[in-house]
This record gives sequence, C-alpha cells and structure tokens, in this order.
Amino acid sequence: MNSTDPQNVNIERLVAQILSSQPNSIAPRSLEERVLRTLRDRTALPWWRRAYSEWPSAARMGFIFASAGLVGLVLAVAAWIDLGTRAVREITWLMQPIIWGGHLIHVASTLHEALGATVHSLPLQWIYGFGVIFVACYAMFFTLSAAAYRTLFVDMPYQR
Amino acid sequence: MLPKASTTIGLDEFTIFMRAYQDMVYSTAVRLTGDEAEAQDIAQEVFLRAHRHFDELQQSGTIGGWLKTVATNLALNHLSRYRKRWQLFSQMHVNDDEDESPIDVEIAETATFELEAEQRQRCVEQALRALPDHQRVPLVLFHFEEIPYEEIARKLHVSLPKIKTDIFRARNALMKTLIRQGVTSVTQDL
Repeated sequence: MNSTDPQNVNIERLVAQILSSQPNSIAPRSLEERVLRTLRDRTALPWWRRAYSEWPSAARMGFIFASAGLVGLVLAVAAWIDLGTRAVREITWLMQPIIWGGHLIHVASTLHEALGATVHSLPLQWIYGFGVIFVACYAMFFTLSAAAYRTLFVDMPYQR
Repeated sequence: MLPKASTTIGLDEFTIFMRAYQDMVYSTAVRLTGDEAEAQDIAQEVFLRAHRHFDELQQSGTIGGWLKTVATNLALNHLSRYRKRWQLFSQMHVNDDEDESPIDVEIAETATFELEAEQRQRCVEQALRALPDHQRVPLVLFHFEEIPYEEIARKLHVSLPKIKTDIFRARNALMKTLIRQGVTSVTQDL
C-alpha cells in the first residue's frame, strides 16, 4: 500500500467524487408507519409500562425507595446466611418493617442447613470430579459450537 | 407529570419532521450495516429517540447532525455487539476471499459517469454492500460521514494502520466493481 502512488491518489479522489455525488437512498414507506405505530402504542400504554424516564416523579421516587428496600432485604438475607443466627436476629430486628415474617426465615434456614449438610457430606474427590466434568462439558460444547458455526456461517459480519 | 415530549407533540408535526429526515437516517444506517432490515430497525430507534427529545431538537438547530450521529452510533453498536458475540469464532475463519491484485488500468483523474444517475446510484449502493463489513464500515465513515482516520480507529477499536489498509482495500475493491459494471471510465484524461 502506497498512499503517494499517483494511481492510488487517483483512486482515492475518484472514489470520493463518486461517493459524494451519491444521493440518499429512499427510506421504505413501512419505516414511517412503524415509527408512528410504535409511538401511538406507547402513548396508549399506562405510565408504569412506559420507559422509566417517562414515569411520573412520585412513581420514580417510590421506585427508588422500593429498590433500596429490596437491596437492603437481599443484603440482610445474604448476611444472615453468611453470619449465622445471631447476626440474623440483629438484622431481622433492623429489617423488621421489610421482612414479612418468621416463616420466610424458617424456610431459608431449612434450605441453608440442608445445603450445608449436603456440601459437608460430599467427599473432596467428588467435588473435584464435578469440577473436572463441568470443565470437560464446557470444552466439549464450546468445540461443538465452534464447529457448527464454521459449518453453518460462512460469511462473518465485521470480521476482525 | 409526564415529560413534555411524550404529551404535547402532535404526531402530525412529528410525521412532517420524519419525512424530512428519514432518507438521510435510513441511508446512513443501510450504508453502515449493509442490510435493509437492520437499517430499518436502526432508523426506527433513531426516530423514537428523536421523539423523546423533539422539543430540544427543534430549538437546537442541529437536527440533521444529531440524527446522523445517533444513526451512526446505533449502527456501530449493532455491528460491534454482533461482532463481539462471534468474535472468537470469526477469528478462526481464514479470510482468503479478498482480492489483493492491483487495478491494472489507468485511472482517470476525474470521474466520467457512463450510466444514468439512478442506475449509477443503484450500482454504487450494491457495490458498497458487496464489500465485507470490515472494509465497508471504515470506508463509509471516512467518505460519507467525513470522520478522520484516527477517529474511525478509535470508534472501531482498531489500529490506525489497519484502518488505513482496510479503507485502501475497500477503495480498490469498489473501483474494480464500478469499472467492471461500467459505472465510471478508466482512461486517463488528457
């Protein structure tokens, strides 16, 4: 590639000339219809089904508070699972207004115990075995996908 | 209270606005993606965003530029998303279909068009779409959007020499096709 070669300079100039004289393509009629239909559909939607930016201010604030409460709840549950019953009691007391009741804690506690008992009862070799099987399956599916892709898709978009 | 754009703008007003700009937006998208259906989707998204900011756009005085920038960015996002998804596999694909041979005829300094305008436009659009994405996209950004090489390299996350090479090859490939189709003359002007 030599950008100072007269032939290349001519090609560049000519391509620029041809492309700059190229008028816009005519947009299909369906484009206008699609946009207007979407806008009409959006206008007909209730506020809570629209984009967040179009929600009323009060609803947006409420959503932020509800999200913060949910995050707090998730953190509390995570901390409870991690720290144990004592921490749970403290956090549960703190999160009393959000957490629905003792039955939720009971269910989670049972699950926690069952999961812990299962993990602890497994021999170490089994855990390594599961790991090896998982990696092998991943490699196998990856290879299969690559082979399928090469077979089915010849022309790649934006190859780099 | 809902934002102004979604409540007070009449669709008639927006339709007039759309009719004025839809060819430009669609052309930008179709040249970059090389696909009419994808270009329609992108153009639709551009106008939906424009509707959201319609009040500000009407006052800004740079509507055309805004629409073109949004269309370009959406088209590039679309291509890069698609590219990233398949990047690993596509790197396995050996790119052996590029014609590296030089143009063996003397190129005129100015274009002499041999075909009628409408037919010429169609041939050029087809020739552009026939280019592989990695050549067409930088070529379109350089010649239609008038974006400099450095900016194109930054936008596409590709090195500057690679961008220059891709554009160089794209021009050659395009010229060969146009000469073959008789769109432009090939003899040196005297």
